Amino acid sequence: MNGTMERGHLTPSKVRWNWICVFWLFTILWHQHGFAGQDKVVVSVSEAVMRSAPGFLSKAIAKVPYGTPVRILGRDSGWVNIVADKKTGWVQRSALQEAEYVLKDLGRGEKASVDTYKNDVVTAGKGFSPEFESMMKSNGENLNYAAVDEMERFGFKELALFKFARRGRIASDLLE
Amino acid sequence: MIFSNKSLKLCLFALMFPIVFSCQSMKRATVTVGESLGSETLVKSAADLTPRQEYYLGRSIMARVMADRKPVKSENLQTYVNQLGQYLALHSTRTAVFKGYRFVVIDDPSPVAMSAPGGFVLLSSAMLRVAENEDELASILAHEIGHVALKHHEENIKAANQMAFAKSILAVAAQLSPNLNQVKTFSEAVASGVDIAFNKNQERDADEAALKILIRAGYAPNALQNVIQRIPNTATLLSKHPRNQSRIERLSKLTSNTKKSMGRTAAKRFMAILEAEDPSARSAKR
Repeated sequence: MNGTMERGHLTPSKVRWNWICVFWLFTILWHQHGFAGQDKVVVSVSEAVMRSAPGFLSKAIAKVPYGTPVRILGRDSGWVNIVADKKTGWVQRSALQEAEYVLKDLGRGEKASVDTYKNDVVTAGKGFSPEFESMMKSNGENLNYAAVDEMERFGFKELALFKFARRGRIASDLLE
Repeated sequence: MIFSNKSLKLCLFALMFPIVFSCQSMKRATVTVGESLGSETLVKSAADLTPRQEYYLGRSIMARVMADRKPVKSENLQTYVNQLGQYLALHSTRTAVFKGYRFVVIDDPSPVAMSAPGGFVLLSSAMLRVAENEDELASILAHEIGHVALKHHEENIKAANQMAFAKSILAVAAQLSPNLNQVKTFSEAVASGVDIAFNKNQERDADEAALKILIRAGYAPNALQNVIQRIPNTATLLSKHPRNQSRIERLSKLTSNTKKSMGRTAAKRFMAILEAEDPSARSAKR
């Protein structure tokens, strides 16, 4: 009964306080929204190598997996100083992308990008993925994934690549 | 009424200050993403494909092309082309792709080079032989890296509807005859597949990207125009109809002030690799 009475008798000061509270609430929500919408960046490669300093020959300190959210501290030409998985270091700029393009892959809001393929074979609806490849293989499609696997075997560390260049007396701008 | 207790209101009011201002300062510390990453990288992904899906699309395209044309069986050659290509990619504007750039030389007598989403680059053995030195081979690979770095595949997938694009590429590849006598069909097929993928502006941009890569990596930038000139006048990726000449002219203008000359670098190892594959290469090049 008492409560009803109070709600029925709003004094000017109570109204003012309510408006102030509403204002702060909106301000907070607005800022939070800005955070989630515009500034969220994640790792966009299978595994980003985090280094102690910008540069391909700096010490590797961690590997940050696809989709990991990062906080950006600064940048230096092609490198970005980040905090990810509670570690601070530098990753290549192209190893990061806005979250909205990457997170689709990780469950939320996944679009069915491949509904049909050839003769309207319905795929898993998950787009191009390992499941898509398995389906193609089981359908007996003329696709040589083994050759692609073989091709992927030839991955070289950056140090080896710079050594390759030096053996050919090629001078990279990155080492100047 | 929201709050009845006056002291509670005061506490909340006091708490909100630090919350809001910490948001502000965090936002400043984080900088805006565009500023901190640079607009060139944060060009919003044109397609609805995620980086991971791009990679798997690229795998399927490569799997289709290599179903009829096998990779050259030479560990040395594939290692060499991957070292050269991956070294060049470090000097591009997109140094990192989902699982790294990969290169392959396939056994085919027509000069063809192509790339697929996800950083896959394919070169025919004939295209390898068109190059007279490492600089020229680097220029072919750099052009393809340019397409990947500028996300041309993704742009066009968006433009043409991603599945239609994928189907067109896969369908073109599916039409390839396993008959080696129909190599012209193969090169035309791949070339037309590439045509679907890349328009004139994109080719021009990939040429410019290639020049920048070559210069930064330490190769002769005029290698690209020289190699385009030498590609036979069949329909292949780098010798595209009438615009071929305009590309050469444009590249000549862009490289007129560069000091680096052709064929000065890494000549020995290039010849050694080619010779191992084809003993007639040395005499042909001389």
